[in-house]
This record gives sequence, C-alpha cells and structure tokens, in this order.
Amino acid sequence: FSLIISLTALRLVGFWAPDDFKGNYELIYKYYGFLSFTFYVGNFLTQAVDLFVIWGNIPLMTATLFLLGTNLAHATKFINLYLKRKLIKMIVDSSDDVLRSVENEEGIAIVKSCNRQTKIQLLTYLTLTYVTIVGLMSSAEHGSLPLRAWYPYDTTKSPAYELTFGLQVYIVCVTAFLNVSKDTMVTTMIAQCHCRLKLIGLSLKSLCQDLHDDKSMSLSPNQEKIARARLRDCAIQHQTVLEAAVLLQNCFSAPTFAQFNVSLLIICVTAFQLVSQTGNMVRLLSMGTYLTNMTFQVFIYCYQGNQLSTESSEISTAAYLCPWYLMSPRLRRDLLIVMTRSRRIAKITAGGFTTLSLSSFMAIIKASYSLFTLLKQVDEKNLNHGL
Amino acid sequence: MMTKVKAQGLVTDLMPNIKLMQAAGHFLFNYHSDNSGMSMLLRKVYSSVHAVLIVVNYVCMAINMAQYSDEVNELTANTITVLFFAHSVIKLLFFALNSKSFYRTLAIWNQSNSHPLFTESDARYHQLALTKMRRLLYCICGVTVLSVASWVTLTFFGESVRFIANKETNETMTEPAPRLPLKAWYPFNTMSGTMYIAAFALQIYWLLFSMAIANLLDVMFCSWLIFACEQLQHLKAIMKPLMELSASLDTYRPNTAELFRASSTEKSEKVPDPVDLDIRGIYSTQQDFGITLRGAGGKLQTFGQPTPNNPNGLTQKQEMLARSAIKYWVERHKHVVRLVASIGDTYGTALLFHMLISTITLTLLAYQATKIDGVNVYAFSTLGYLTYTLGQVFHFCIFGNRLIEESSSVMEAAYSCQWYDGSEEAKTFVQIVCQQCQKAMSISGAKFFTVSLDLFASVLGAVVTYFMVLIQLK
Repeated sequence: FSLIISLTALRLVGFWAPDDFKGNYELIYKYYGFLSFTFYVGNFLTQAVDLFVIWGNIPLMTATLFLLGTNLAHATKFINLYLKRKLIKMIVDSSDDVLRSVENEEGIAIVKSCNRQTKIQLLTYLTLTYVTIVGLMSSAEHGSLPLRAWYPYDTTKSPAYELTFGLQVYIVCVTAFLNVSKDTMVTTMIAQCHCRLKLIGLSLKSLCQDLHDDKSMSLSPNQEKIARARLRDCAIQHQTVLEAAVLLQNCFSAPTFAQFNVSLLIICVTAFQLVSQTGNMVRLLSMGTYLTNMTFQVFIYCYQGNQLSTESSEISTAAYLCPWYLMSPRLRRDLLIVMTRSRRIAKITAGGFTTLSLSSFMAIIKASYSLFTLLKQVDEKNLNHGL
Repeated sequence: MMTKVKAQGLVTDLMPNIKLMQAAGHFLFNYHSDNSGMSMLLRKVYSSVHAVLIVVNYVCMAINMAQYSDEVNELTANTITVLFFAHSVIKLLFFALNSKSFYRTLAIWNQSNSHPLFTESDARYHQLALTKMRRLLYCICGVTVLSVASWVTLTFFGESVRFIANKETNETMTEPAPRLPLKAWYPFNTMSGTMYIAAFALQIYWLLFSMAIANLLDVMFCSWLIFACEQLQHLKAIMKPLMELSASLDTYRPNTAELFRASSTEKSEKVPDPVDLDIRGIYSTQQDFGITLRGAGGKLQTFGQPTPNNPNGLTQKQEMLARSAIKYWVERHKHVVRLVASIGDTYGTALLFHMLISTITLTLLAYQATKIDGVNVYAFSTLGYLTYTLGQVFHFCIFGNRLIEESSSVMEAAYSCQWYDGSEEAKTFVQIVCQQCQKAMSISGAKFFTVSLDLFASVLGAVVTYFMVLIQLK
C-alpha cells in the first residue's frame, strides 16, 4: 500500500509514533517531533521576513510567494495531523482490516486495481516533485541562493554560503517529501473508501448468485433466507463505509480548504513567473514542472473525491443489477432502502465550500487563470507608471 | 473457405455507416463478409495509405503555419485551419487505438431477450430507430459533400494571397500564394502547371476524406444514442400492458386487443427463453383470456379460494406470465444501461478532445469575426468555420440530451401506469424502477462534463461573450 510509504515518512519526522513506543521513548519521540517542527517553521519565518522586505515589487514577490505559500499549507496540515492522529489511526486500521479480509477473486481484483491506481499517483507525484527540486536547485545563479530568504547573517561569504545552500536543499527535499506523503495519505484514505464501496457493489450484484436456477420465477423460502442474510451483511458494510467517509470529512476538510486556497494563489503566481521570467532556461523549465506539480496536487484530491462520489451512487445501480424480480416484495423493499440511501452521494468537501470533484477542479483552474490575467494587468500598469 | 461473420444486432443496423467508414480509411477491419488473409492485408494497406496521406498533408499544413507565423492575421487563420483538421487526425488515431472497445460496444446488442407479448412493440421501435439512423447518416453525408464543394468553390473567389509582415516597417504586405483550398507547404512549386493541378486534386481528396473520417465517427456515436433512446421508448410503451397483466383487483380491464394481437404473432416467433415453454402453455389454452372476452364472470381473480402460493389471487399461470414479463422488462433495461455505459467508456475521451479543440477554435474564430468588414471571402469563410464547428458540437449535444430526457422519463412512465391496481410485486417493481431511473443516464466526456444541451449553451454563450467583449475593445 502506498499508505505505508507516507506513514513511514511521517514516522521519520516524528509525527506518527509507532505502536510499540511506550513511556520514555514516547516522550523523547515527542520532543524530536517538536524540534523538527520548529526547524521548519524557522525556515518558513525567514522567507516571511524577506517577503516583508521586498513588498511592492511584484516579480520578486511572486518569486518568494510560491514557496512560502506551500510552506504555509504544510504547516496547517502538520498541525491538523498532529491533533487528529488518533482518529486517523482508527480509520486506517479499520479500512485495512476490511480490505485485507476480501476472499473472492473478483474482490481481490478490485482491491488490486485500486492499489495500483494509488501507486501510480504516488509515483507520478514523487517524480514531478523531485524533477522540480532538481531544476530549482540547479538553476541558482552562482553566488546566490536558489531561494530568496532573509537570514540574520551574511550569506555571500564562503562557508556561510555553502552551509546555507546545503541547508536550503536539505529543507526543501524533506519538506517536499513530507508534503507528498501527507497528500497521498489523505487521497489514499479516500481511495480506500472508494474501494470498499466497490466491494459492496460487487456483493450486491451477486446477491442471488448460485441461489436460483433459470427455470423458476421466484426464490424459494430457503433461498430467500440466504439472500436476506447477504443483504443484511451488505447493508452493515455500507453503513460502516459511510461512517468512515464522514470521519474523513471531519478530519481533513479544513486543511484541504487551506491547500486549495494556497494552490489557487500558487498556480496563478507561478504562471505569472513563467511568463515574465524568460531568461534562465532551466529555471523556466523548473517553474513549468512546479506548476504541473501544483495542479497535479489539486487534481488528485479532486479526482479521488469524485471517484468516491460516483462510486457511492453506483451502489444503487449495483443493487439494480441483481435479479431482484425473483425476490419477494418483502426482500425487494429491503433492497429499496439500500438504493434510497445511496441516492445521496458521499462527498468530501473542502471547508464546506466546495466539494472535491472534477468540476470544482475545472473551477479552480479557471479562477487561477483569471487571477493570473489580473496580475498581469496590474504589473503592466506598474510598468507603464514607472516609465 | 470463407468464414462468414454473421452480422447481427447493432452491426446490421449500422452496416452502411460501417461500410462508409471502411471506405474512408478508418482502421475498421471486422464485419467484412470475406475474411481471407489476402483481402485483410489489402484492407490494412488501404487504411494505412489513407492514414499516411492524411497525416502527411496535415503536417505540411502545420509547417506552413510555422513558416508564416510572423503576421498575426495569417497566424490566426492558419491556426484555425490546423485546429479544425486536428479533429480528423485525432479521431483517426483514436479509432485505431480504441477499436477493441468500439467492437465491444457494437457487439453488446448481439443477443437480446424477447417476450412473446412484446415482440411487436420491440420490432416497431427497432424500425423507428433504423429509419432515424439512416436519415442521420444521409443528412451528415450530404452536409460533408456540400461543405467540401462550397470550400472548393470559395477558393476561386477573392485574391489568392497571403499576408507577410514587413520586418522593417512593421506593416503587412501581401504576397501571391497558390490558389489552393488549403495553405500548405509542399516540397514542389505549386504556383502553376501540372504540379498545381496535382496539389489541387490532392487537397480535394484530402478535404473530403478528413471531413468524412471525423463526421462518420460522430454519426456512429449518435446512432448508438438513437438506438438506446428508441429502446427506452419501447420500455416505456410496454409498461402499461405489463401493469395490466399483473393487476389483482376485479376492476381490472385488460387491453384484450393488445393481448390477442400479441398472441397471434407469438406462433411465428422462436423465443430462446427457456421459460417460454410455460408461456406457450398458457397461450395454447387461451382459457384465462377467453373468459374475459366472453364477458361472463370476467375476472382474472378467483375469490373465495385464496391460493397460498399466489397472494395476488391470480392463477399459477397468470402469475408466471406476469413475472416473466417483469423479468423481460428489467433485463432489457439492464441491457440498455450496459449499452449506454459502454458507449460512454468508448467515446468519452474522444468527446473530451473534441470539446477542448473546439473551445480553442471558437475563441480564435470569435476574434476573427470581429475583423469582418464586408461581404467577402473572408466573411464567408469565417462564418462557414463557425457554423461548422458549432454544428459539430450541437450534433452530439442534442443526442446526448435526448438520452438524458428519455432515461429520466422512464420513471414518469412507471408512475403513470395503473400501478394502484397492480399486485404487491408490481408495486415494488414500480418502486425500484422509479428509484433507479431518477438518475438519468448520461454520456460524460471522461467524467469532466456531461454531453447535453447545457454544454452547447455554455459554449455558445462563451463565444458570444468573447465576441462582444472584443468588439468593445476595438
């Protein structure tokens, strides 16, 4: 599972204590986590100060803003993760149990394909991030740092320069990896709900499997009993998955909202950078990949949310696909209740404003595009005034 | 020894379309009556030759666009042409890559269930679908030929020039260019003589075939939608007799004419459904229906002896008939749902590409349209492009919309029949059908948008807005 990778990453940084750390170890672990957090916050603060210094000069501002914004989003996600870790652990464990206990081969095929999909997303995301980092780092002009930031000491002198350079590279690498792992954790959990819903759909479709023969027009009482038991099972599972989706919504709604806002800003800022800075080829390319990276980040959230919504309404179709005309009216009514519930889709919202779906993805892209054009206008006006 | 592939189901209905697609050079290699190795090879060669020619000419046009990209007007005009024909190239490649899913969609309706009561209605709606599909095919073919003809005619009007930007003075000059339907770079000089005629002929061929390729694939998609809509109509039409079959009160008045007419055609149909052995038994007796016709004691229901197996009061045979009719209805509906899902999977991505390219083309066309200054070649060509592109989008939006409307009206049809007279089973049947058909079946462009008239309206609205804004800015 790709979930394992993200959890391990978090474990390294000190935010996700493994189960077997007890007592003293736990305390030490907590201190370690706190230290690494302040470290990153410190880095983020230096950039904020620098921003304050160069206020008003739009191209330079945008150069710092994009990384600053990402760090902001990071910090919010970190805090959220730390506060809600017990709940998240519970969701992960229960999902794991369900998915590992699938027995029939079609179910296993479904789990495998969901797994593969999440793996592909994780890999794409990782490659994009690292390509961007490599590009950014190597595009630094000689003698100056790749990222503008304010440090309390002079960074152009020799040992300080190398040290700060190395520090920046290290910080960026680690933050990027953490960011990837946090995002993939959320999206993988949504994908797990989606997978479970698919399994429920499969068991609904095969509700009357092996039970009836083609000649009869209705089920015998024995067969009805078996079908009823199976339906009861499906309904219980359906209830648990919907509960899990609600929990996910509660945990991750706020940071997703922050993420979306930040991504909106970043996409328009990066596009602006891309258009206005045509000198350094490598930097241009890395900006391009950064833009793709950010868009991809928003995309995976929206895509997984969309999958979850569509799958929850597919439960109704799956119930329809079983040969329900063979059932007695009493059993049909039970099936009907399941179908009626699945009319209302299970959706994840970002802070209650937008639901995660492909149409909101298009809306975000359109909004950042209009912000971008606005920014261009403001910049041109400044340029004209300056002349 | 030729293995004759029996054409059935959708393939038979769409055979003219398929044949035309094969003629136009699509990579469609099934559904021939003769499958020997030599003719397959010939067909593959034919399609590849077409594909190569089309792609090569397209690349030549692109080269021309890159060559003369200094002057804004020239660049815009060339970009529009290049994007316009990008549809054909994309559709050709899309079909070649996705032919398996196309074959699968075409084969979905090879085996369909049938019921003696409803074969007449089935045949009627099938015939309707067939007529509509044929009519659509002829219409689109006519439009294609007409557009090629008008394009070629328009080439002979106006000046045959291209715009060049003079780099020193920064103004536009005109330079004579060959009088060809499409501006493209050829490695030979096409100003006059035999080379000119050869290039002209090549371009006419190219225009016809590339437009045909794009349009025929769209026609196939729309024909599928027509077929699905007519099947839904059939299902709605048989809902009423179905309900009447399973009525349980003595206020029931059967539509005896329909029942008798169906029973007379039954003898000529060979139904593969194994359950129908019982149904034929019911028919051969005629006893139950005979009672109602004579009017004496005209009740399907026997009071006073509540049979334990039949809570509705119908006899065993009537119960079987009612259940088999419901089974037919539900299985047919599931079949249609499968068909629509398959259509969406097959053609969704092509629709997405089409809409993306059309959006960009329409934006550029809106910009071009602001520069129309009179009734001349420029005006006609811009308006022609505009109507053609909008027409293409309208074409599949209207059929997608019809599908959405039909599939959601099934619920209304289920409600409007006499369900209150029906048995418990019939009532739960209506309930489940209403629940399922609340959500309309729609075709989505790879989940990004749904194909409906709303989409067309938003595209049209966007074009008009751009146009108005640009006019204001001038």
